Amino acid sequence: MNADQNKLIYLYCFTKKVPSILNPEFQQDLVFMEIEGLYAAVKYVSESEYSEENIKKNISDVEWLDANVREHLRSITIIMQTETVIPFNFGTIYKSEKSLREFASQYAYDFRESFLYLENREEWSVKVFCDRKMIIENIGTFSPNISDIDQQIKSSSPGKAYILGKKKKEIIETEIKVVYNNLSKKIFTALNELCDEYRFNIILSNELTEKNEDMILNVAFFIKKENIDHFIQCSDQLMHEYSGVGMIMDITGPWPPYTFLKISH
Amino acid sequence: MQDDLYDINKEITILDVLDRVLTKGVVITGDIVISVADIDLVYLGLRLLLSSVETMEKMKAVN
Repeated sequence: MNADQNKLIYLYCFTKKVPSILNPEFQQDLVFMEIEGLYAAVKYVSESEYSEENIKKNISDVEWLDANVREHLRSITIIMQTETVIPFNFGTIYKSEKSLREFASQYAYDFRESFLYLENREEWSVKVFCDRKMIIENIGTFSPNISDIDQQIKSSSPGKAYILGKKKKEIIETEIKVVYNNLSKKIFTALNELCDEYRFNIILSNELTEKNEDMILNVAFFIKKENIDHFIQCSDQLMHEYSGVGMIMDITGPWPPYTFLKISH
Repeated sequence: MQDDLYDINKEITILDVLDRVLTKGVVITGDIVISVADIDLVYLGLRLLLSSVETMEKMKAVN
């Protein structure tokens, strides 16, 4: 396919410069279009794939969607290796170069202002999960209520111990929520000290995460580059500290700064 | 070591990617955009895919 067949313009991101060193994996069809002193990273795409009607059909095809959203992310992250980016959503399409230029000229000032904030900062994602079974096994160490009831059971008659045992199950359910809440607060507070900004994301169900462990924290952090090593060290320490009680941390980054962009109509 | 642990292209689920590249970012958009309704359809599609896989597995177990 060539530019004659591919008439639509797919926008990945804006940069202040064309990346000086291109990764060997860099996509050959990527073009940097200079507009008002900034650069739009684009590729030309066909109407058969990206017309309004066809893109709607294609995004219902999970395989197509998976391959193309990953390609979108990969292209932007490669550019990010050397340049600060203003990333655009997957499937941002312009019908002509004129249309893209008009749009970019209108927002050139906002883009320049955004670059000032985005430069020298990175977006990282922290997801924290807990192994419910392990938490239950160790619940006595987290919860004084459970330790107390265990002591009472030991020193009670069989009848009273039975009732206390039932009560213990109820208390465990409540205590799990308390443990999750305390753990997520501890992790968030420790990491947030190293960050400029944060945004909580929704806690996803086990069905969507495809994990047995319960998600207890889902947060994006915006971090100065000089603090990244410290942030990772701190994450490693927290993982080490709480792995024994069934806590798992998924740390990913740097992401394109989707969460911390402040440009809108 | 850091690259192995934190490489963004490894072990990132499609939901993680979609969460950013479809639902966040610059609110200003192009001539052609994926609307919020379409995004809902995508998520619905993923859920259906998950549930159909589960159904197939259950059916296999029954047979």
